[in-house]
Amino acid sequence: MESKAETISDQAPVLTDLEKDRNLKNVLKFKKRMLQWSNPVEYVNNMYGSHPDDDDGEYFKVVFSK
Amino acid sequence: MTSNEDTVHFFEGWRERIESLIREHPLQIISWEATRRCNLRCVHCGSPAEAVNLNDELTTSEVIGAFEEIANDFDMRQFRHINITGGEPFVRRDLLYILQAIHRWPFYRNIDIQTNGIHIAENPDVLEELKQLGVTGLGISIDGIEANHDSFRRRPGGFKQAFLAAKLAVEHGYTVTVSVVAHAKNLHELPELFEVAKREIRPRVFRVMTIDPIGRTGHDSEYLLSPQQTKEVIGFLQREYTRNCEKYADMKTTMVELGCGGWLGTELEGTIRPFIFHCIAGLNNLGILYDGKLGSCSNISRDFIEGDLRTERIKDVWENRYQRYRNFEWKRNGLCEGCKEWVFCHGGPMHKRNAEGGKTNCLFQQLSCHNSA
Repeated sequence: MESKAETISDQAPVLTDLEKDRNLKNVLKFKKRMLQWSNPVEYVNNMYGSHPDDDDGEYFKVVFSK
Repeated sequence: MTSNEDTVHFFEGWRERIESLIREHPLQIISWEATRRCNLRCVHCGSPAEAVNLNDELTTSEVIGAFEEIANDFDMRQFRHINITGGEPFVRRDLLYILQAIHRWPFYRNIDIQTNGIHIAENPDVLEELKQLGVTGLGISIDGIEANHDSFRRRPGGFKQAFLAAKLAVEHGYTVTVSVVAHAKNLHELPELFEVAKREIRPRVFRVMTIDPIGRTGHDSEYLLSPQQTKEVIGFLQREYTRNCEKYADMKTTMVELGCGGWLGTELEGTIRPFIFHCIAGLNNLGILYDGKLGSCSNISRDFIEGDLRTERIKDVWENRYQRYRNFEWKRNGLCEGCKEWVFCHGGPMHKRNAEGGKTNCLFQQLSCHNSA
């Protein structure tokens, strides 16, 4: 398939090594919390993402808390 | 540093909860395809009006009757929300009347509408009315920077209208998603579109769907993404997610997400969007299609219709059919046969399946094949 699209790989922000290290720790911490959430499809339930969740953002406050 | 491998055993617990959801299939979401009619004729539409009989559209009283029947027959204690799609929902002139009529049931709140934004841009007062009727979310499609969006949507000025509608919706306090279908001709614009949307619209979600060969997009479409291009889209989202996810607890932060395009594998899941994906069609998500047929999301093939509310009780259909949505063995063929991720993904989203059981594509395998090539 021929495409005229340019690559977007170089357009996204580049992270420094320090940022990568810190951010990856957060990503994995949040991932574990997602996997342990009682409702396994809590956010998929949000379908197109256009809902506040039913508990005033509790999912986000808990999963993404520092 | 914490390793991704440490998360592997957590997937087992997650899978047990998925299996429990399948067994119990509580009704939590109604996806109502309000109409197949539309005021646009987009190149990529997954729910085109062609090959459907628009005269079969449910009448006002049939729609209200369906919501009443559900309210009477189902245990609504776990019900979460209504998701209204199309076609273009605002083409239905009775949309607000229907919302008003079902508003008397307290569980029919937290409603979202997926729209191209034209009606809102031309009638901004509707935002106040919708709010009074339990609508809390609006998903507005923007498929590229101005020229690309207008060409894709086949409507000059369409970008400005969608942009305005999204901006007004945020100002009125709605949870707004900017939805983007990533395809071969707009993917190079994703970073710029994201920056512009984040800065000027400030939606809660910047949602990217990779284009699928369904609806008006055929298997030979020049818009389809190559595995390399798919990887670029995923890579972009992953970089944005990694960089900003620690701010997601703040509900005013714009999040990126990859929509329900499928399972990414245990390594990538949970590192690219704010959830672990599993298709919920027919598990807790009941679809009422434009003509009263019962299925799930409107972009799932009509080969997977399970009943008809005009002739059957919805509860009977929900409890006694939907086996194809809840027992996944029929999907374990082709791309899925022997796949190590099967136990978690169960063959992926229903909208990628055809009547013969085949699968249009698999994100996990596209990424894996490309990585190993």
